[in-house]
Amino acid sequence: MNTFKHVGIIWYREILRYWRDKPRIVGSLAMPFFFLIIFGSGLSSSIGQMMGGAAEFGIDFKKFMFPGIIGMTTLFTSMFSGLSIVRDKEYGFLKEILVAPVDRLAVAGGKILGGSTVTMIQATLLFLFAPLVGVGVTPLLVLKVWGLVFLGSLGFTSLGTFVGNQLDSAEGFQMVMNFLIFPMFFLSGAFFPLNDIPTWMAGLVRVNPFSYIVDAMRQLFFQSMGLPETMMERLPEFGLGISLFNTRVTILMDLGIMVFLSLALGTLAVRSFHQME
Amino acid sequence: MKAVIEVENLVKDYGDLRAVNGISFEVNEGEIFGFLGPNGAGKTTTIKMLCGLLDPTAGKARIAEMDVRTHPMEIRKQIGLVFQTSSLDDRLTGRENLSFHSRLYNLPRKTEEERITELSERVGLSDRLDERANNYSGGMKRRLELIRGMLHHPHVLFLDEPTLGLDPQTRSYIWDYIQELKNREEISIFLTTHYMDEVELANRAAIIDEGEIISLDSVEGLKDQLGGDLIFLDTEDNERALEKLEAEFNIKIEHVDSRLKLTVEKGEQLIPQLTQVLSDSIKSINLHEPTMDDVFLHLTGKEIREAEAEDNSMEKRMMH
Ligand SMILES: Nc1ncnc2c1ncn2[C@@H]1O[C@H](COP(=O)(O)OP(=O)(O)OP(=O)(O)O)[C@@H](O)[C@H]1O
Ligand SMILES: [Mg+2]
Repeated sequence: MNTFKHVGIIWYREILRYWRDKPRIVGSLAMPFFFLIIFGSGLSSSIGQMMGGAAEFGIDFKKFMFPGIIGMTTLFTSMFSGLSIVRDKEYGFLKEILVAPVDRLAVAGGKILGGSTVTMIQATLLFLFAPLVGVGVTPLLVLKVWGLVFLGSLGFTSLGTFVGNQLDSAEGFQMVMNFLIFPMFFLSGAFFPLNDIPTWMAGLVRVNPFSYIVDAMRQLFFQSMGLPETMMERLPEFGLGISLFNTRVTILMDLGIMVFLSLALGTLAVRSFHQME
Repeated sequence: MKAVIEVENLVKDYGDLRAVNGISFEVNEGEIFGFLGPNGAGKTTTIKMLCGLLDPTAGKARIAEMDVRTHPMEIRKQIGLVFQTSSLDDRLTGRENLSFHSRLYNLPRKTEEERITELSERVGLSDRLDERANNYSGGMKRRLELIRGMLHHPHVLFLDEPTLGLDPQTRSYIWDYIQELKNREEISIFLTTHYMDEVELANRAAIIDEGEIISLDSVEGLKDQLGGDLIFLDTEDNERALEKLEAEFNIKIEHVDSRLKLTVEKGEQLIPQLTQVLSDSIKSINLHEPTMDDVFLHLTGKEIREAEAEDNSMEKRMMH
């Protein structure tokens, strides 16, 4: 019972700290914005060609990229939420938490859920850009995106928190994160369609957990844009979806992979809290 | 008297370095126990083991009759801790820092409010409580940490150099508060410091150097080891004065830096007699009642500041 209450208290502090840091909230919108505007406009004609039949349904490069950008924000925000634990170490506040009569499970839970909540807020803010790309937003779509971002961020906040527990400098954390995040981001299909890529790369895309978040996100948006089921079936053909063992990966399968990932990485994170002195 | 902290042969190794080397002591219910030693002596390491933040390498430690290894949760509920280094959330207000603490310790909301009001008034923080902690001065932060450690009515309070870096006024203010607190609430205080005058406020004190306790006694007892007061005497002719005094009194006299050092039991009573015997050859006379500085010098053969200078490299390493 107390454990739940403690999760809430630690979660609340994370949110309060996020809310107090307004420049961070605004600043973190800059990168997605530039991606959309600069890449989206600059590359739309050349990459647009690659998307084959999807173009007939009004899907241009910007609309292709938009779900990928939400995915990107999910990945970056949730991984970087591990910075909070490094800061707590640097500023000494972690001692205050560790010496309190609080189960380490609650500390981990509060931190991870806090990171996920922040990620959901950041992802939601991206809908502000939807008119720029001409994507229609419905309440149902927003709800689905929330669910997906929440589930997807659990695993990555856990990973970020785990890494944060191993390090004690913010600079070090940033280096390690760039090392982990950028390969995941570029090898996910968030940024360009996956047709005609080398086989080795196609293999890496499939083992990259982040690919499945992007895949699910894109399918949600395409569905919401009214892409017919027959077209959805053919997404992997155009490099707009993933197939495993010659079967198309559906949203449900994506979600399954995320649940598995959250459980595995969540366990890792909780254990690293128990080992902390 | 009942012991509230019991420590037996406690050892802590950091890799090859033995930071705490088999210390044993007890702290009684309701007492202020001083833990005095130079930088790197092992004070903070000892506190961390007692609070369950660090696993002992060997030995036993019990708080309120519970083993620190087997009952960390129960012990945490009973102790309060003021860390040597800052442990506030700068981005939260003073009140939010306190409130976070009381919720982690499961204080009922009403008690929380009363307690925050009461304690912050006592240390003169109540009108600044709704400001972010990063606006606070060093002394205000320290006061905030101090009342935070007290908020949940701990049974044992650990203070790791609570007045480090404070001006003399704030220091004595905090000391008044600690004293008052001890009288008002049922609490035992474990205090580390390297200010000698602060140890004088303790009931008993242990002197720790290089991970070992080299003496443990009441503060009076520690001073008695020195054999009494010191009188420093300078005369026109110190050799002659020495002869005269040795003929007249049965006391220990030494030459120290061109002065005579007399170790005597009741210094203030001897001075009139000294002036009589030596009459007007006296240039200066100086009575020195022993301080913990002298005790430390006597026990370790070095001044606490020298011991610290030796340890400076370590200090720098620890700051990072
Ligand atoms: N995490 C650590 N890893 C390695 N060595 C450590 C660690 N913490 C402390 N030490 C070493 O253990 C010894 C005791 O340190 P400790 O912090 O307990 O000293 P202290 O008595 O509290 O000193 P101070 O008065 O400077 O606070 C020192 O030599 C220190 O360098
Ligand atoms: Mg210390």
